[in-house]
Formats: sequence, structure tokens, C-alpha cells
Amino acid sequence: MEYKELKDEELAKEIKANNHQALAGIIERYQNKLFYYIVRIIGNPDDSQDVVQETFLKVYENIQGFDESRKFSSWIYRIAHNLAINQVKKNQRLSAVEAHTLDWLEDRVEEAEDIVAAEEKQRLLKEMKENIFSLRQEYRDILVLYYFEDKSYEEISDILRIPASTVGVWLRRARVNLKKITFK
Amino acid sequence: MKTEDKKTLNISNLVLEKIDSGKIKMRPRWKFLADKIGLEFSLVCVLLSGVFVSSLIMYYWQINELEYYFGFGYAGIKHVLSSLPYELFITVVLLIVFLNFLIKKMEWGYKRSWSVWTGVLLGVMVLSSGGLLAVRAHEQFEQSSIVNDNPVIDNFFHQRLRNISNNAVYGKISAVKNDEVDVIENKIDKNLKNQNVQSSSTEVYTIKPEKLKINSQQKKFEVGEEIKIMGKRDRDGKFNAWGVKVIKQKKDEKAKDMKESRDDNKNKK
Repeated sequence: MEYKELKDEELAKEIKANNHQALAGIIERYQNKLFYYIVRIIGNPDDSQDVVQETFLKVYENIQGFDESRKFSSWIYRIAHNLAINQVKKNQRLSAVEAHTLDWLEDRVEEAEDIVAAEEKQRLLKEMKENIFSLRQEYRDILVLYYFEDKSYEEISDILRIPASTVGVWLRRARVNLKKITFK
Repeated sequence: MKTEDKKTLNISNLVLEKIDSGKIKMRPRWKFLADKIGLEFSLVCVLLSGVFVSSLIMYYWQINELEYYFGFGYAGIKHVLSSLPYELFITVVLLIVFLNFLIKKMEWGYKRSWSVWTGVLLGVMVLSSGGLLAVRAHEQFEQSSIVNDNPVIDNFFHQRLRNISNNAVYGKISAVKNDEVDVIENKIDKNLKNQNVQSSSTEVYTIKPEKLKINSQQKKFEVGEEIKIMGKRDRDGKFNAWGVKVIKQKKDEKAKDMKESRDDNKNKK
């Protein structure tokens, strides 16, 4: 079977049937995306790699609880998000961001160039790279999911488990706060 | 683009090795189903408890006719506030908080905010409570507690829920003196077996209307009128009245009042 052609939800169904190849397919599909997402939450690439591994183990452990009528990407991001937050709490490194983390983010901004058309978005990404770690955790999560991961309000709502209307409010506040920090 | 610095992961072998080693096991489907059913069952149970407790509050309002007391202004409100069964209100608040907690645990709970869920829960509780009152569920429940001789429930209904009405005297005016009015009490059958039948009591209360708050347009009392005297009994059983509400005016008095108001209207024209 060609797993690359299957949708995430179809792969999830295969994993439920204990198909390890399908799990490998999911890992291949999500490992880098999740890694960059988690780096932005934790601020440490080494820890992030461990969290990514843990995320896939959790996916395997809890796959029977996944409802195939829902979006798999939101479900896996939710798991990754929870594990990343736990790691942040464990490390208490919210304010101590290592210098090379910013390089990672710089890379991501450059990678984003081809998909980011608007100049405004580009400028915002740069500002975010410099200041995002000064923001409160929930504002940081929203900005990362919306601008870096290109998630919709509905997907962010599913990942962060907040109402879609709250996503809009937090995103607005996060932008205002980011501007304040940037032009301070 | 600094692609040379870009880190790519290849962790599938690591993950699959851990799974193959048997350290990580897939959680069976029935455990997720059991969690879901348990959560939904808890939600229904807590919601039903909330409906029951909030309906007790509405029943409390109904049997004590609280709306009469609010007509007496500050004195009436003070009297009600000093008698309210606060434990029921606290229970409702705690149940709503717990319900919100359970809803947040459900798959769909995060779709709406806390305030929306609280509003919905309150709405469900008030509507369902109204339904329970409409079918007189509490009266039947209270009656069955008497029939089955359940002292705890019986005591709760009589001592806690009927605390205001137990401290009010319903009666008929038997005599009107210079500044005093005698009232013969009509006691509602406390056993509730014949709730609609009022058994007469020979207890006579003498009140001085000038010293009381009167919730009526009427200035003079007439023999035969039915009134409700609000007050509180002290530890010695002495009844201290503070207000009077005219329940039923004497028929000829009522007719006289109506005639007078009609005449007034005609004169104005």
C-alpha cells in the first residue's frame, strides 16, 4: 500500500489496526513540522526532539481514542502542545531562551519566504522572531500557530481547546502586545 | 536560505523500536469508551441534581409566597434574607462549577466559553425546575416523606423550606377594637394530608395595626377579612408581628370600594 497517498485520517485508521508502517508514514509526515512548532514553545531544540518522540509514542498509545471524523492534524498538534507545555513547566525556561533558538527561528522565517506573500506578514514574522519569547505563553501559542503553522481559527481552537471566538480575541491581543514590546 | 543549518529529524526508527520493545502499548478502545460513558453519566447525574436543587429553591419561593414580602420594602427583604436556605444556593453554584468542569472535559466542551455554558446550564435548570413545579413533584415528594415517615426529609421540608410560612399567621379578623384587631388563626394542616382543607384553630392573635407595616390600600380593617400576619416567633414561642397583608377583603367591603371608585370616576367626568 502506498501510504504517501493516504490522508492522515486514513493512516490513523491503519495505525489502529496496529500497522507500524502507517505509523512510520505519520512520523515522516509530521516530525519536522512538530519539531519546529515545539521549538518555538520550549525554546530548546534538544528537549524539543525528545518531545517530538514522546508525541508519536502518545499518538500510538492513544490512537484508539481518536475520532476519525475529526482532523488528525489538530489532534496530533494538541498532543504535542500539551507535552511541550509540560516540558516548559518542568524546565522553567520561559525567560531563558538560548541564543541558537533565535537562529532556528531565523531559518524558519527564511523558509517561510516562499509561502509568505505579503510584506506585512514577513515584517510581522521578523518582529515575532525577535520578541515572541517575551510574550505570555497563550499569546505566543496563538501567534506561532497562526503565522508559523498557518492554522485556521477552527484548527487553533481544536489544538488549544478554546472557543474559536477566543482565538480571534487572543490573536488581536497578542499582536497588540507584540507591537508594544517591539516599539518599546 | 541557510539550508545547511536546517535540522531535519528522522526519528521513526527510534519510535518504532520503542514500540516493538513492548514498553509502549496501545490503550484498548473499550477504555476510551468507558471514560466517555463515565463522563457523560456523571454529567447527566450532576445536571439532574442541579435541576432538583434549583427546583427546591423555586418551591421555597412558591410555598413561602416570597413576592408578598418584597412588597413590604426593606423590612420584607430583610426578613427574607435572614431566612433563606443559603445551603441550596451554595449547592447550585457548586454544581454549576462542577458541571462546567465536566463539560470542559468533554470533546466538545471547549467550543463555547465558560459564561455561555453557565447561561445554558442556568436556563436548563430554571426551565426544568419550572416543569417540576408545574407537575407538583415536590408536594408529592414532601407528602411521601410524611407517609413513609422519613424524619430527615420531613424535617428539611418543614423546618428549612417552610421556615417563613411557619412564621406567618393566616387568619380571619374576629373583632376590631379602638387600636387593636383580634385575629383567629386558620392553620394549614401541617401534615399536608389534606393540604387544601384548612382546620380551624382557636388561637387568637391581637395585633396593633398602627405599629405594623400594612401592604394594602385599605386603612380600616373589617371583621371577617382574611389576613396574613408576618412575624417571627422567639425562643419562648411568642409571636412578634411586623407586617400585615390583606389576603381577602370582605365581599361587601370590596363591593363598596369598587362602587366608591366608580362614583369618583363619574364625578371626575
